[in-house]
Amino acid sequence: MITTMLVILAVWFVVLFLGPPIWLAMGLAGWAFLQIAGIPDIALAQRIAKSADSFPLLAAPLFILMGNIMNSAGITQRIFRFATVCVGWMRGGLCHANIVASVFFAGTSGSAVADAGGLGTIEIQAMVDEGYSPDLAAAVTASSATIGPIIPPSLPMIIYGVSAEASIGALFIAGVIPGVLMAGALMLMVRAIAIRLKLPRHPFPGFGDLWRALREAFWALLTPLILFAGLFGGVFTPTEAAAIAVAYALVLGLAIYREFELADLPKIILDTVETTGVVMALVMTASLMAYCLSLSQVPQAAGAFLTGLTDSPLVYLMIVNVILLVVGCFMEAIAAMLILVPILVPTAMKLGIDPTQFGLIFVLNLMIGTITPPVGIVLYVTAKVAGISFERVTRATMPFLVPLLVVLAAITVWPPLTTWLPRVVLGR
Amino acid sequence: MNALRRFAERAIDVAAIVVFVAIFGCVIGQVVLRYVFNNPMTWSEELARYLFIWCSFLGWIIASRRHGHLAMSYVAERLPPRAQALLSAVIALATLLFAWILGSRGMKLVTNNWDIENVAVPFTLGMVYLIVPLASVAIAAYAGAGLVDSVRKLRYGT
Repeated sequence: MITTMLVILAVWFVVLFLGPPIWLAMGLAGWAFLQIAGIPDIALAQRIAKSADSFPLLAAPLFILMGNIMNSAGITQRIFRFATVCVGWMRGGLCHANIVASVFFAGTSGSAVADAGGLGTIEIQAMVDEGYSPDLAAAVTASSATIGPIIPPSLPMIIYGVSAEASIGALFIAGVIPGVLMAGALMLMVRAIAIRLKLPRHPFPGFGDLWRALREAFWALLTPLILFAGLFGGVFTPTEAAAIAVAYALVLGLAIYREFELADLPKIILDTVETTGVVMALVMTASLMAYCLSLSQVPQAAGAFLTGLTDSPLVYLMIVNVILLVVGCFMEAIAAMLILVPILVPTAMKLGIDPTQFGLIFVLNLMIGTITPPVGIVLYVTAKVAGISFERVTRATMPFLVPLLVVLAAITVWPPLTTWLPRVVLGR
Repeated sequence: MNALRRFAERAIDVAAIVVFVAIFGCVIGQVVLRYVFNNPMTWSEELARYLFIWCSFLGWIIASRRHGHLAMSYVAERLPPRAQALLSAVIALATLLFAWILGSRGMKLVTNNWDIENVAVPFTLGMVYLIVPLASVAIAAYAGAGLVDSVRKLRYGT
């Protein structure tokens, strides 16, 4: 069975590069395994349908809807304007503003692609208009977009939490410190580059402008706090908190910013259902594959192998980092997550690694994978937005991997960065 | 044919919007009743989960229509046009195969569960699973259209 599965995985991996929808490759790989193993293939339909039968997973479409409403309510411009006023006076001001805006935006969105495609359009335009090279603009946009799914809400964390049976609320809260660290590390990097390239800066805006920009963006900046208030002490489940966040976004768009009309809602909901379908097609077929994996005993064999390698948590985490970084280069994040969770998580739990820390390491690795070639969806989106080639964006983004890898190393080596805040907030 | 397609797509869109609004209604209603009126609903969570299955498959269909599904198109985009057309024809055939498997086994899932009552909602599990064969038909329809398209490209060039 193990050999069969490994052969199927190898074929599947090659086929993926021919460009079929990823769900199709996973669905057929799962079916092939069921056929060869002689398992009634009604299990295929059952696994696929059953994996959507999950209340925690329901948080994902609600957060997607919240992000879409916020976007059409003109939040994105306000956030970028506020970030520009805050840090634009530093050397390389718009690079810093780009990063800071990603941090704020991360609180209203759970996906790196939304950050690169939504906020990125405004950021790159503004930077190019001020004489920054499109390469640098794209590189800063792509690398800071990875903060989106680290600071809550976060689609990858919801999916990780469901498949690894970890607390989604704890993962959300644990993302705050690493997310801010990522922004800080990226800004240090920008500072070094800015001095060398003599990048422009804005004059200091004065407190009047600062106050006006803050007032404009205030209600949008409040979103993560609403989320936190809901999760505080575990009062609401993340799904309930997501529904409240949707209601908040509606009030924001309809009553406060008034850039959004009820007539826009059907289109926004359809877009939301489409994105949900894209994510769920991956989740459902990847769950089928994960089910086949468990039947094939591959996770058990891999687990035995991994436990044989080391009994030190730190060494194990290093091994996991290497595996995930390599896999992240070649595979789409959600598919990789659902397939690797049953292989890597049991050993981590056996070694006594904190589930929240492990989840953060897992997600951060795969988010770094979205900006590494040859398969980097965020690079791809950013290249489109910036109007330059994939190769150019990739080359420009590579240096910015360094600060992100430093943060990854930090949360790997020092658990309190990810375990302290959830313990305080959730009161466990 | 085109009128049928327009009607079906319109129906799918309307269903998607209704289902999504209902999901939101379930969850927000649950919050309000539980925390404001201290009177938890028993059926809201179950209903929301079942609607989510429908929402997922409806979204799957809509993403197929809009060519929104994720794929690693990096290699394929660099092939000559004829090779690309051939490749998309093969992918369309594979999609048809998968849609057939999912649809026929999904139908079995429906009949097997047709009489299985749910705890809190007034319909059976089989009715929930009805979306599986329905979605398979839609996925197959788009794959068929894609197949016709790429065969045409193969024969007459682009």
